[in-house]
Amino acid sequence: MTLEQLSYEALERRLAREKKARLAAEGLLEKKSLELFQANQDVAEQAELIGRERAVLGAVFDARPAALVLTNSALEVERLNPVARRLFALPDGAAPGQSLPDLLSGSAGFLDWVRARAGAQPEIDDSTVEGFARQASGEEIPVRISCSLIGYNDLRLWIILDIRRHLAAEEEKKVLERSLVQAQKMEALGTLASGVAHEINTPIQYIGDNVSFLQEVCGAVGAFLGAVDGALAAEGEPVSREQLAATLAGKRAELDIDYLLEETPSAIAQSLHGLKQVASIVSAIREFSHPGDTEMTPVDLNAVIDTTLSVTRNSWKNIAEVEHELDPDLPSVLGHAGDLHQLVLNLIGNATDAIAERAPAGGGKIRISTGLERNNVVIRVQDNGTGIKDADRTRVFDPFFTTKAPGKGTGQGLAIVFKIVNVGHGGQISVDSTWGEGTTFTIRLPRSEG
Amino acid sequence: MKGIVFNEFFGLVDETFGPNMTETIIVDADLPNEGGYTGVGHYDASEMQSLVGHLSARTEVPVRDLLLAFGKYLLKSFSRNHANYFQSCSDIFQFAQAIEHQIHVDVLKLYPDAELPRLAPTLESETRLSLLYRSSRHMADLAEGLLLGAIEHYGDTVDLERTDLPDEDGDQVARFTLRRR
Repeated sequence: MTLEQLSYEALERRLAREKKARLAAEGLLEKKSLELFQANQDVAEQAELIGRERAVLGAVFDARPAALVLTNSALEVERLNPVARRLFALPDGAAPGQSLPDLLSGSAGFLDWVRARAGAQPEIDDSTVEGFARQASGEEIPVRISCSLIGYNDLRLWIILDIRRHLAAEEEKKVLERSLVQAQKMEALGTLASGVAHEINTPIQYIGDNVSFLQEVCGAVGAFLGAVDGALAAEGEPVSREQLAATLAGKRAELDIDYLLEETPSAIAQSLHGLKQVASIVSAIREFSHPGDTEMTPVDLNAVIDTTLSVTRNSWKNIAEVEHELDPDLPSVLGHAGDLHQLVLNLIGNATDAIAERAPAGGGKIRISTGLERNNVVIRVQDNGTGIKDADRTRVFDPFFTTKAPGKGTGQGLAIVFKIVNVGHGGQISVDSTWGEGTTFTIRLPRSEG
Repeated sequence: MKGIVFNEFFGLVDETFGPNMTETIIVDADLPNEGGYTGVGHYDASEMQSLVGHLSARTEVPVRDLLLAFGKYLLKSFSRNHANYFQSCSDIFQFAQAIEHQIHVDVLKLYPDAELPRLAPTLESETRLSLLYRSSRHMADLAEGLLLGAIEHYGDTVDLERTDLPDEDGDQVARFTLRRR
């Protein structure tokens, strides 16, 4: 390029352009400097914000009452909070790099769950699992664990809860629940007491009558024997055999001995029957009111139904006829006998109330059957009472739900039944009902093994 | 368009047609800033089209030929001032693939307001690479010149073929195909 070729005016224009370009460049430089300053300010603010967030998150991490552990995808511990350090009884600075599975123990399923959260494609979901935190001393602490990805650097956050207190509370709750069931059973017995008294009173009355009769028999026989002794010991003129026979026959007729001897076996048999009846009712009450074992034991459901029908007889005998078809080969179920008595009692009570409310033509009928379906023992309690409206069917097992008149039902009966079946015995209960025709409750309980 | 491109263009005109031609076309173009461009400033691309148009009119050299020559000239300037980009690639295929994903990314870091063409690369085989050019600036001739300059820079025996495609939403679209011989 040869600027010498340019005219003076052209050179002046070029100089003016250069000046203009320099001014523009200076303006841009100033603008960029300002932008850079502003960017620096922003970076400083962001750094302060990040520092504050880091401090807050660090404090939250350390202050959480749960044990928190951060691991990488190989499940090596990168960071843990003081609670986790205490849970695993680790000295300061000991854990980083340690394998989390090595700090845990439990069932194969538990360890599989933990290991499934390792690697590039971990199984992360909302589930939790229970196992043990293992300390170097060998002590194992029951824990519940959840795991989530924190969305940074493939890190996993493990929340590990020490559940010792929770398990103790659960145990206490179970004891309280058992006490509650027992209290409800005793309450039911109280309600049934007048009926039971009536059931006992009837045999007691005729036993009393029979004993009075036997007392009369004893008196008569004693008097007759006294007459025999008197005749044999009489002094004076000897009497002939015929005269003696006539005297004793007269006394025998006078005391009505033949009639008394004829009636005595029947009075004794009737009394023994009555005593057996009373003994059976007392035995049923004793069995029914027994608090039962805390551990599950094999229970004969047919016997439970028989016992409960005995105890409750007075509550339904004037309302419904009870038919039962109990499978004589029914296997036992593993359960709490007391709870199962309560279950049958509540279902019979429910059926009785439903029939009393409807008063069906042709009389009330409660049909109870037992049987075995696959590995389940099945109890069906069917009645021809009022039935359940469609709208109420899904709510009948809700606590405090009742369709009975105020003061007649607490709404607890079927809720207790549901809890005993589903929670207490791992079974299932279903209800089939037609409004105005009746209801059938079907309960399936797993048979005991062996 | 960045001011550096205008200043490089003036350098080319000074060297090829003499400084008087530069002054003439600046006057002819009646530019808003009277031709005072600063390298990092941002200016309307239509000013370049006007300058090239007036240069073509004064020299009777077709606009396409002028833009091809300017592309080669500009590439030399880039290779001098931004040697690291050229050194990081061993051949034209690597360089062509780095334009969109590395060079343009870095340009936008420094100049967020820069309006760059898109050059989508497809390596069709070991000996064949296509670049789909798309730009609202309608400067495919300049892009072609730049690619020819890059081929010269790497000294590769590569043929460049250009296929003009229909415009899309006002953008000029063309496919450049590079074939190793």
